[in-house]
Amino acid sequence: MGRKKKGNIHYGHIIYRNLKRRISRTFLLSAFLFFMVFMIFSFTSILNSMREGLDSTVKRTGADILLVPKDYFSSVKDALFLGIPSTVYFDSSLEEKVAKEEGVEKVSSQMFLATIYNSPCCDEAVQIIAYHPESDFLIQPWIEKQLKREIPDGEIVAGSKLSYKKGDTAMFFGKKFPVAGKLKETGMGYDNTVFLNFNTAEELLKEPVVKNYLAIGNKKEVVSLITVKVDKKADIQKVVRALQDKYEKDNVSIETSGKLMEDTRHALKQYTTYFTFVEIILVAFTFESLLSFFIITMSERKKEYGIIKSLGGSTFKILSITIGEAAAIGIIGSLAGSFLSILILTLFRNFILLHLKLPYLRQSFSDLMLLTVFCTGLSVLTGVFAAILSSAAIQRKETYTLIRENE
Amino acid sequence: MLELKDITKYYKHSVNTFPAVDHANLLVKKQDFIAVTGPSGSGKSTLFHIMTGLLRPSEGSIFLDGTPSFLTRQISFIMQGQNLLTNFTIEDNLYFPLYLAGIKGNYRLRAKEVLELVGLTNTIASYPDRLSGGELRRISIARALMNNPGIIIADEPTSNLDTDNAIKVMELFKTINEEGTAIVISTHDERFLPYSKSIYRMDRGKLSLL
Amino acid sequence: MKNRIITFLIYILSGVLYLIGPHTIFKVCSAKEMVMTCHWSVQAETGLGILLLLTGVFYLFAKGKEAKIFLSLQTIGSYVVGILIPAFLIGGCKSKDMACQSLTYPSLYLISILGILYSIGNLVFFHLAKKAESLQETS
Repeated sequence: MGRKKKGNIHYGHIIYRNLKRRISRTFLLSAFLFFMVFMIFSFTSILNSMREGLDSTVKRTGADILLVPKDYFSSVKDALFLGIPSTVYFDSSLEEKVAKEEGVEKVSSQMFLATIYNSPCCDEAVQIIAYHPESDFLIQPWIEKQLKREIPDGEIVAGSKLSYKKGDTAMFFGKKFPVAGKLKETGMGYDNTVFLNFNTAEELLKEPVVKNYLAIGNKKEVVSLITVKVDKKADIQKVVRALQDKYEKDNVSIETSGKLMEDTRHALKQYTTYFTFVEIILVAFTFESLLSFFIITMSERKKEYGIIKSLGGSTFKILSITIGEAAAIGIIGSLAGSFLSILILTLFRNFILLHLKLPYLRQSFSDLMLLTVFCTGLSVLTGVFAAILSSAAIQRKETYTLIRENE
Repeated sequence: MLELKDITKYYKHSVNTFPAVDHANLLVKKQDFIAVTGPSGSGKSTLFHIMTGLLRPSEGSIFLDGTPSFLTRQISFIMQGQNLLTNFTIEDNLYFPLYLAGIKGNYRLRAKEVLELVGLTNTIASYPDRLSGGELRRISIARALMNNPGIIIADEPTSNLDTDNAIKVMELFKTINEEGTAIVISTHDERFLPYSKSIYRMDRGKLSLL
Repeated sequence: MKNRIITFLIYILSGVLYLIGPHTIFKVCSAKEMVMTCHWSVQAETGLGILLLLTGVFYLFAKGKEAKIFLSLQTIGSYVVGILIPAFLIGGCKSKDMACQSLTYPSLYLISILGILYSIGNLVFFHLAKKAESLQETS
C-alpha cells in the first residue's frame, strides 16, 4: 500500500502493528470492553424506549379525568399501554350527566372491544376502540392529522403493529371492514388497536355473535371509557372529588389520567435505578479488569519501552503509544458491542417487548448514533485511564533498568 | 565532538556507597575510533550507558560540540544484546529512530543502503525473531546508521557472537569509520583492539588512556 | 492452522444451531396439532444446517487458499439463503408475537448475519495475506 512507498512509519502504523502482533491480548482486552458496552447500550436503549413510550402516552392522553367501570381500571390501563385487548362497558347515559357538572369543559366516550380469533397463528388478537369523531378530543385530532379526514362509516383504521395495510379488508366477528388507513407507531396500546366510529360500532353490536360474546343483552348504549377535559380555571382534584362523591356508588371508577400512568412511572423509576446500579458496577469491573491486565502486560513490555527510550523516545511519546493502543482497543470493543446490541434489539424486539412487558422499544437512528458515540467515549476513557495508571510506574524508571529488569 | 568531564556514578551496596565510574574524562573527535577495554565489572557498561543517556551520572557533565547534551540525533547507540522491536519488521525497526526524532520524509532508499552495507538486504520484510544473533547485531548497526550520525557508541558489539560474525561486525565499524563516523566501542576481547585508533582501559571505575 | 480450526468451529456451530436450535433452544410451535408454515421453513433450515456442517468439515481438510476462499464464498451464500427462507421464500406466521417471528427466525437471522460477517472477514484476511506475500517477494 502507500505506506511501504512512503519510506517511514507513523503513529497509526505503530499502534496497528503492536495490536496485530499481540492479537490474543488485543482480542481479550476488546472483549472486556465489548461486554461492557453491549450491556450498557442495551439497558440504556430499553430505558430510553420506555421513557419515550411513557412520554408519548402522556402526550396522547389529553384527558384530565377518566371514568371506567369499577374493577376494570387495570384492564383499561393494559389496553392503553400494552395493547392487551379487553372488553369493558357501562351505561352511556353517564356521559350526559358528567358533561353538566361544574368545572367540566368537554366530555367524550370510547368503547373497548377485544376480538375473538380462530387460530392463534393466523389471526391476531386485536383491540377495537370506537369513538365519536365529532366530540372526541383524545384520538380524533391524532387520527385526523395522519389520515387528513375522519374515519368513514363502515371502515376502520389500523394501528402500526397490525398486519393490515390501507386498502386491505379485515374481518371481525364475521363482518368485513375496509381498512381506510394505517397509523404510525405510538409506543402505546394504540399500536395493537383498530379504530372505528360509533356508527360502525353500532352496526357491529347488532351482530348476534357480538351480542352473545359481550353478553350485552338489551343494553342499547354502552361505553367503556368516559374522558373529561376540565376547565382551565377549575381545580382538577376538586372536580374529581365531586364526581367521585356522586358516581362512585354507580360502580364507576373515577381517576385522574396521572393515576393511570403512576404504575408505569413507578416501574420506569425502578428499572432506571436497577439499570444504573448495574451499569456502574459493570464500568467499575471492566476498569479494574483492564487495569490489572495492563499492569501485568506492562512488565513484559518494559524492555520494549526501554528500547524506545534508548532510541530517543521521550516519556510523552511512549505514553502516547500506550494511550493510542488503549483507545484503539476501546473503539474496537465499543463498536462491536454497540453493533451487536443494535442487532439483537432490532431482531428480538418483539420478544423483548413481550417478555419484559414493555410498551415500546424503538429508538431513532440519531439516538442510536448518539448512544454509540457515548459508549465509545466511555469505552475509550476506561481503557485510556487504565493504560495511563498502569504505565505510571514504568515512566519513573531509568531506561537502563527497564531494559535489564527482565533479563 | 563529544566530551565527558569528571563523570562519576555512585551505587549503594548495603551501607557503603562506591563509585562504579570514578571521575572519568573522555574526548571523542571526528573520525576517532576508540576502544574501551577492561575486565567484567570494571564499569565499562555503566560509562557507556551514561554516555548515551540511559543512566544519569551522579556527578560531571557531557558536552556535544561545546553544548551540554544527553542523547541527540548526532549520536547513535548500539546496546548489548538484542535490541530490536519484535512487533515490527526490520524495515520498520530502521525507521523507528526517525519517527521518534520527528524526522519526516522518504527513507526507503537509505534503508536499502544501510542494509546493503551490513549485507542483509533480503531481511527487509522479516521480523527479528527470524534472524540469528549475528544478523540482529548487524541490523542494530544498520539502524544506528539511518540518520547519518556523527558518533556511534557500541557496548560490547561482539559479545555472544562467533568469530566469523564478530569479525564481520568489526569490519563494518572500520568501513563506517573510514567514511567519517566516529566510533566508540567497549570490549573485553583483546583480539579486536587493533581495529581502534586509541585504547582506553577501565579499572574499578577509573578510565585511563593506554 | 488457527484459521482452519476457528473457521471449522464457527461453521460447525452455526450448522448445529440451524439443525437443532428451532427444535430446542428457539423452538417454533409444535406441528402435532396443526402443521403451520413455520414447520416447513424450519425443515428447510435443517437442510441448510447439514450443508453448513459439511462445509465446516471440508474447510478443515481443504488444501490451499483458493479452496478455503471458495468455501467461504459458498458459506456466505448458505447464510443468505438461511435468511431468505423464513423471510421470503417460505415464511411463517402473520402475528409478530408468535414464537417463530419473535424468537426462532430472529435467532436464525442473527446466526446468519454473524456468519456472513465472519466469512467476509475471512476473505479479507486471505486477501491481506496474499498482498503481504507479494510485497515480501518484491522486497
